[in-house]
Amino acid sequence: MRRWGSMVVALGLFTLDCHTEYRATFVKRPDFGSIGDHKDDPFLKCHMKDGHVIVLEAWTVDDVAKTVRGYGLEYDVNRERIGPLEAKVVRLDDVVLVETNKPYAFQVGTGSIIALAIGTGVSIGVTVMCATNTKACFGSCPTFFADDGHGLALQAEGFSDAVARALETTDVDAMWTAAPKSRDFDVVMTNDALETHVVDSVRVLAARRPPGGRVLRAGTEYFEATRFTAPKSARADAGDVADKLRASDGDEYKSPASATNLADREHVDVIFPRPAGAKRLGLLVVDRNSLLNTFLFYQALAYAGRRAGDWLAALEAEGKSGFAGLGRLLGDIDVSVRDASGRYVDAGKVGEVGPIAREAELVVFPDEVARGTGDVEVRLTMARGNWKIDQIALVDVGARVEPVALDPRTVTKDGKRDDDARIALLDPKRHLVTYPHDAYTLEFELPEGDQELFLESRGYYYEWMREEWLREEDPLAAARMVLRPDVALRELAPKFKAIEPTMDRIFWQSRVPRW
Amino acid sequence: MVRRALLASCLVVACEGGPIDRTRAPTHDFSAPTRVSVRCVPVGGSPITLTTTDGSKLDGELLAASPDELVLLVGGDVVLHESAARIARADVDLYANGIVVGLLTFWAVAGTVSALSHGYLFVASGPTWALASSLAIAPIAADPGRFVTVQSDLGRLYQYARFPGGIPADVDVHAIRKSAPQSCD
Repeated sequence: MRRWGSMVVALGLFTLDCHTEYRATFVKRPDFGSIGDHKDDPFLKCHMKDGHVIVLEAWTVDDVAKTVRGYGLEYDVNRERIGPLEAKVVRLDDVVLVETNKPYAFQVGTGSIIALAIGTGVSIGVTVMCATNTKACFGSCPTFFADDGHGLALQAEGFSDAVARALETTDVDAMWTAAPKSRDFDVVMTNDALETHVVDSVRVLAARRPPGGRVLRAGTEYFEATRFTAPKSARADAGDVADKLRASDGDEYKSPASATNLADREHVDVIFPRPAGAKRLGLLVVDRNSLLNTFLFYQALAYAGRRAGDWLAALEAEGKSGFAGLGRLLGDIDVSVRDASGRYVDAGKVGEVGPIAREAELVVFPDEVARGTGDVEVRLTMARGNWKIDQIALVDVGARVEPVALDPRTVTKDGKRDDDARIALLDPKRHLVTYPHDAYTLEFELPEGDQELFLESRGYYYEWMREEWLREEDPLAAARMVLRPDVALRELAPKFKAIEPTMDRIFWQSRVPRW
Repeated sequence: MVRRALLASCLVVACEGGPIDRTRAPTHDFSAPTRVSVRCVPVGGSPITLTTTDGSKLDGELLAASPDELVLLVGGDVVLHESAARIARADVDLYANGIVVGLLTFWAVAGTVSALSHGYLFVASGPTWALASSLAIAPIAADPGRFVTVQSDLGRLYQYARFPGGIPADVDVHAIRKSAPQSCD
């Protein structure tokens, strides 16, 4: 790195064309008396009647004798130097024109060199990043954007764990911050990663919100939710983290991963004031993955190396369950609630896969929780460093609702209507295949009224192999990740810890831009 | 990266526009008063290119300038008086930039090729390098500050002439030769 930096600096200095410009002032014969006004100019040229020119420095004017004295050189008409550098006295009567010069250093190309040097520095940084930290490259599955009232905002990422055709799945994400301005609602679907996305369908699920409330998804069921109660406290290893969990504001709670075993789990014990008169309670969790499972997935591909295709073929032949060990060990966010006897009892889990878009999910508590007394105590149990939790809230769970599924009315790409893409999304026998940089706008017509919106997407994707990954090809290690994931999670812990602090930054910087 | 490079390029363009008039101090941000040897102070005329009204071009050293005519030394020993009526345009060359442009171009090409080391990110970083470096070099290659272009008021060019006060009557114009190469030694 230092050598590269030196080369850049050397090239920059070498390229600099530093030359001298002269500020010149000319004084003609009638005004010779004003020559002294330019005494700050270091050089004075006397253009002589015979065509010679005498260049002086340290010059002075003798107005009485009408001479200029200085130390300098004389040149003939062809600007051949005459005589040595010496003290000279020039009679102004022999001079046609006096010129004073003040030199300035002028560097041609300095700005360009700065621009290229910046570009070179960034480029070297990317090279080093890709060479040393190849698991941090952006991987996203399809990402979906919609208007949140301020402009397009990330709302969902589709089928994140469907990394092969055999794993094709239907994924539903809450579009938690979507704020449609009218019944015409646009969703922008992008491929921002080095992946091939195979999209079977994209639908918007719309459910009318209750007055003052929202509609939340609990697995495959949807419930009205009202009266959101923030936690009083949330005790984690790092102390009380309730401030990070009170609102969906991007200020997330995330613990560091274990340095010895990536499957190590943690508890976050949360206390809510009990809302009066609630008939049924539930827990809202707004969360997303950290980059831990992204790291593990990419590491598995790197270990598989040139045989990654064979592994994925085996995955398709064996089915998801044979390769799900890592996911099982990392697990979801398990939610338990303290019952009247003081024991924590299992209430459910949330665990939408994906490191990009936040998901809002509901865990409905057993009815007796609402009938209890005192504070409501909830425990979250999860793998350390695997989750980023933005908000948790106790909610009054209302009636179950059935959303309306909406197909896209039109599909456009690059500003042009793409009916073929729309047909591919509507026809169950066809898929829409997208590549890096692709962006489609899907227009939906929403029902009347204040609607809670969810995005349902079905499909799968293939990650592109990075050349850098091939250096880590290790079939035995790949096999161990499948057959002994518990061992793999211990062995990989130090490797992940080494890049954990910078992984987020690099991940987002490596996002493939849309054109 | 692109934004920073573009910003820097734009700053360069903004700073380097316009001809340099020897009667004014250069306005470039990167200019600063400097000390030079008296031996280095230039005494020859500036290189000039004339475009005549019939479209032909003429290169030479500017010997003298007046509103009515320009006097050039062409081919090293031919003194040519060109009347203002025949001159469509005069470009005085203040400094050469070929080497700078060449080196910057080499740098840009090397940078673009080196972006191959970014793997698949090259689809973004390669074109970014090419575009940003082109934008960085273009202001230098087409630097308007390199020239003083005059289409009228030719007398203004006297300050770039070997004889800014005009060729003295005592000088035998047939004896005028190309200015001797100047050395700071």
